[in-house]
Amino acid sequence: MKREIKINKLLTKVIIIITFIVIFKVYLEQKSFLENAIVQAAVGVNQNTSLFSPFTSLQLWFSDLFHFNQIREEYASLKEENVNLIREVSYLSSLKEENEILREALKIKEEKKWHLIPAKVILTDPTGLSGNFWINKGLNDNLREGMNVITNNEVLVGRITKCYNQSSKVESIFAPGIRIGVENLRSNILAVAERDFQGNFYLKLIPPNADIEVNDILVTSSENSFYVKGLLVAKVKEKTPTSKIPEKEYVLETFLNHLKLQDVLIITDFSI
Amino acid sequence: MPSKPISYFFAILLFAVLLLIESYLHPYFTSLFFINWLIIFIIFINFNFPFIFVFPLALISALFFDSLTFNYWGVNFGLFLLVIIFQKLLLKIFEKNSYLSWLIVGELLIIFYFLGLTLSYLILKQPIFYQNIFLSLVLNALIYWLILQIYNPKIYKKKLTL
Repeated sequence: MKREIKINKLLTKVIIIITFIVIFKVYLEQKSFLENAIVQAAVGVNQNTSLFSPFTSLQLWFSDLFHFNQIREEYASLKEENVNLIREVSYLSSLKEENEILREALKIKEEKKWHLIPAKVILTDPTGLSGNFWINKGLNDNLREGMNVITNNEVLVGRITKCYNQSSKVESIFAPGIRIGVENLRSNILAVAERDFQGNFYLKLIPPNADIEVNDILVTSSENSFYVKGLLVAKVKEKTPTSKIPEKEYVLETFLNHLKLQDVLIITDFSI
Repeated sequence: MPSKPISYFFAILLFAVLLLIESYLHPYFTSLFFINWLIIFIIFINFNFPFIFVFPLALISALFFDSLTFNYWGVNFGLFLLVIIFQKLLLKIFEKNSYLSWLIVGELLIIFYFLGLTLSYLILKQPIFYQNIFLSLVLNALIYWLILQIYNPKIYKKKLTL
């Protein structure tokens, strides 16, 4: 009897272990499908504003009713402003035409711009430690791995590391271990920007007696294998020549504020 | 063990809320540390709820972390699974309805989870600042203790009624 109970217990344990192994195997095999599904589900929740939208519209309706006179005044002033703007547009369009004629006459090569695709940040890494985030554009929008992500001010955000049909994973410049080759716009000095665990960026691999001052602007250099040249990265915030650690002599302040990151642009094609 | 089905409903509701908090609110707060509300919640419910109920919640949490953090899958799944199994084993050693055992077991599990996470980053050679993980470990342990301070009277009352 006791032996039977022992065998039963042993069998139960074996079954439990096998079940776990099977679940784990399925979990790993379904990796890409589940990952995409999780992101899509989370995006769905994020964009689901319909729950409160009836209340918002009701609130707006009452607000309009109570501010009727103010709206009427604003409407009159906007109408006037509109007329002024139309006049200005017609004047500017004539200037544009003149400019184009002159440009052609001088044979100035028109500056080629990057081809950009706008995207929205939908999720960030819940741990926040890896510096990754997700955007709402993917393979369907012709995005590919390795493409650079910037803000509308041409500030470097990061690069795409993984692409799915409708979403992509972006590795930001705040990811640990990221090294960005930078160039000082004023003195053309080349160096490397790197982040420490406190979130501060420092300049490394600076040539001796380099001409770097506070408020100098740093852009991506041509030495980067992942980033396009000329993107804004940071400015020199502090200079401590007496620093005991030579690599922490220059403290940088990034132009990118990852806490306020909502809209980004992806460079899909570029020519300089 | 909670007998009322309503407690299961509230547990699922709270889990959903925490999942949303973890995905939308926390990452915008800071990148220096992270508070894993889900592991704290799972440790708490694993004291009272059956394994069959805790396991799917742990699986969803792991799925969520594995899909949104670094590229290697199964790390969080393994860790969550080990945490809940380890908790069941620890509860065989410690008294179930004591404040002190809840504290010791919970803190041990949080340490275990973060040590596991650190090891996985180390083995998989993923770039990470280990100081940030250590800071997260301290903060999570502190938060668990704080929650337990609030939740403690409930355990005490339960003990009295038994």
